[in-house]
Amino acid sequence: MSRFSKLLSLSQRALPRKSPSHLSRPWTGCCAASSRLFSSTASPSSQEPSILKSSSPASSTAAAPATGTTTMETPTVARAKAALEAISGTHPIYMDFQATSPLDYRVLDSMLPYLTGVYGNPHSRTHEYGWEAEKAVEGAREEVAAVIKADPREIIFTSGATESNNTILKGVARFYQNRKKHIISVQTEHKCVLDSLRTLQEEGFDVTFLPVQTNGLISLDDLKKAIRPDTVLVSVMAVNNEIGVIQPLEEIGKICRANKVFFHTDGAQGFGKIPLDVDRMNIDLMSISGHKIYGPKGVGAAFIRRRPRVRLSPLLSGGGQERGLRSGTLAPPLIVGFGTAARLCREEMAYDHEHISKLSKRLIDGLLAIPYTSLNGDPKSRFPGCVNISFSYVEGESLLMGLKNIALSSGSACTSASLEPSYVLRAIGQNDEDAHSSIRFGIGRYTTEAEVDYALANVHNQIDFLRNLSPLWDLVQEGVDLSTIEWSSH
Amino acid sequence: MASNRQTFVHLYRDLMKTAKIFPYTYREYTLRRTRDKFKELKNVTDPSLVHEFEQEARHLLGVVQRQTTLNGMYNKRNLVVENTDNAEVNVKKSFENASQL
Repeated sequence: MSRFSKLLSLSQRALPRKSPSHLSRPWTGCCAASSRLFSSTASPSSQEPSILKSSSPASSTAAAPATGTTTMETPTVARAKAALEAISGTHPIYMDFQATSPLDYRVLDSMLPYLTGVYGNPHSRTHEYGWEAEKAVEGAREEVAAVIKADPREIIFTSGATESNNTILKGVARFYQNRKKHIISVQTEHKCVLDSLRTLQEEGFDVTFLPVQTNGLISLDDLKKAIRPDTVLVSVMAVNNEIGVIQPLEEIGKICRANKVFFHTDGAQGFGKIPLDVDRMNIDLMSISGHKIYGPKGVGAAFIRRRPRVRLSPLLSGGGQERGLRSGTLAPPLIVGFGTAARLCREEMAYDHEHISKLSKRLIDGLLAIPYTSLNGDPKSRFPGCVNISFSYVEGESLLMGLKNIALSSGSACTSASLEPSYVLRAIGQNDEDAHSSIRFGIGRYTTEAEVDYALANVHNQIDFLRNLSPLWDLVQEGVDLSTIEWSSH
Repeated sequence: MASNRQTFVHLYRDLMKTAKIFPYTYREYTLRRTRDKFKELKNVTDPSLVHEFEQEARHLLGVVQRQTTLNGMYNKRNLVVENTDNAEVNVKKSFENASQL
C-alpha cells in the first residue's frame, strides 16, 4: 500500500481537498485512483455532505449514490462509491440481546481451527484426527460445567436450549411415567417448555401451570400446595426472556429436594450472566443455550445430575453418544465455540454485570421519565440486561416501526409473528392495550453508552410524535378517565 | 522493573491501535475492556500473576490482529451511531489491512 499512500500524499499537496471521496477507493488499483485524483477538481462535491449527514435519525433509508460527480468515473469506481455510501452509518444499532447475541471474536478465533484443519469426528477412536477433536470437546465440556459448578460428566451437548428442554421434560416424564404422572410449571415459561408440556398432557400426564404475581415471580406457597405425591418434575425458568425477572431458585430447589421432586430450570437467559450453582440451588436439570452467551447458534447443553441420579429416556436413538442420552455426531467447531464463550462468561461475569447494570439504570431512568410508562417485572429480582417497558396511549407496532434504527422487540422472537399480545405480559396481569405497547430492550456486553443515549433520544421523539397524533392522548391530558367513556355503537 | 513496564506500555498501545480497525461493536468493547484490564493491572503485585497477565495480553493481541483482518474481509456495516467521517477511514483501513495478507 506504499504506492497508494505516496500517490495520496502527492494529491494532498497538489490539489485542494474538495471531497473525502477520493480517499475511499483503495481497491480499484492505483492507476485508476491516480487518474481519478487528478480529475477531482472538475467534479462538484455537493453530494458528499448530505451523504455524511445520512446518519441522522430522521432519514433512515440508505443514501442514493452521488450523481453530481461526473466524467472520469469508471463503472467500478461508481459502484464502489455507491457501496461505501450505502454502508456508511445506516445499519441499526442492536438492542435485542435476548433474541440472540453477536459472536464474540475470541470465540470465533477458537472455532476456526476446527473449521479448517482439525476436522475429525470426535467419536473416531482409532486415529489422531478423532483424538484431537475429542480432546477439544472434552475441554469445552469442562468449561461449560465450571460455570454452574457441575461435574463435566453431567453435561451433554445438544443443538440448543429447545432441544435440551424437550429432551429433559419428555425424557424424565416418560422414564418415570409408571409411578409419577404430575408435572408443575409456570405460565410464563418459554414456548418450547409450554409446548413440550402440552404434548405430555396429550400423552396422559397432569400438568399444573402456576400463576405468577404482578411482579412476575411465582408464590412459593402456590408451589408447596401444588406438589402431590405423584409429582415427578418442577420446571421454572431462571431468568425470563421477556421481562427479565429472576425466580427464587434457591427456595424452589429446597422445596423440591424436601419433596423428592426433580427441579428443572431453563437457564438459557441466565447461564453465564447470573451466578448459578447447581449444588447450592439444588438444581437437578438445566437447559443451556449457546447463542445467548456470545457463542455460536446451533449448540446448547443439558445439565443432568448424576448424584442423586436423574434418569431419562432419550429422545434421539442411535450410536449411544453422550452417555446414550443424545445420539449423533458432535460438532467440534460449535462445541469449542460454546466452551470458549462459557469460559469468557465465567471470567467476565462480574465486569459484564457491572457494565450492563450501569447502562440498564441509565436506560430505565431515561424511559420512566416519560409520563405514563411502567417497567414490567420485579424491579429488584431481575437481570438488568432485559428491560421491558410499557408505553401507554401509544400503539406498539407503530412505535417499533418508528424505531427502525434500533433493533428491538416487543415480546419474544418466538411469538412475535403472531398478532396476539405476549402471554407473559398477560400472565403478569397487564391489560391488552398495555401489553401491545410494550417494548423489550436488550443490553449486553457490547452495548455502549452512545447506543443507549441514541435509543433514549429516538424513543422520546417517537413517543412524542405518536402521542401528539392520538386523540385519546388529548382526552387523557384533559384528565378524562378513559374507562368511563361510553363508546357509542353504530 | 523498568523493562517490564515498557513491555506493558507497548502491549497496551498495540492492542488499542489494532482494535481501532474493528467494526463498532467489537471496537468499543475491546477499547473499553483493555483500558479497564490494564487499570486493574496497577493493583496486581504478585509477579506470577503479572506474567500470566502478559501472556494473556499477548495472546489477545494475536486474536485481535487475526480478527480485525477477518472482519475487514467480510460484511462491514456502519451503525447509525457511528461518526460517518471516521467510518470511511475505518473501511479504508480494514480493506488496506486485508490486502496486506
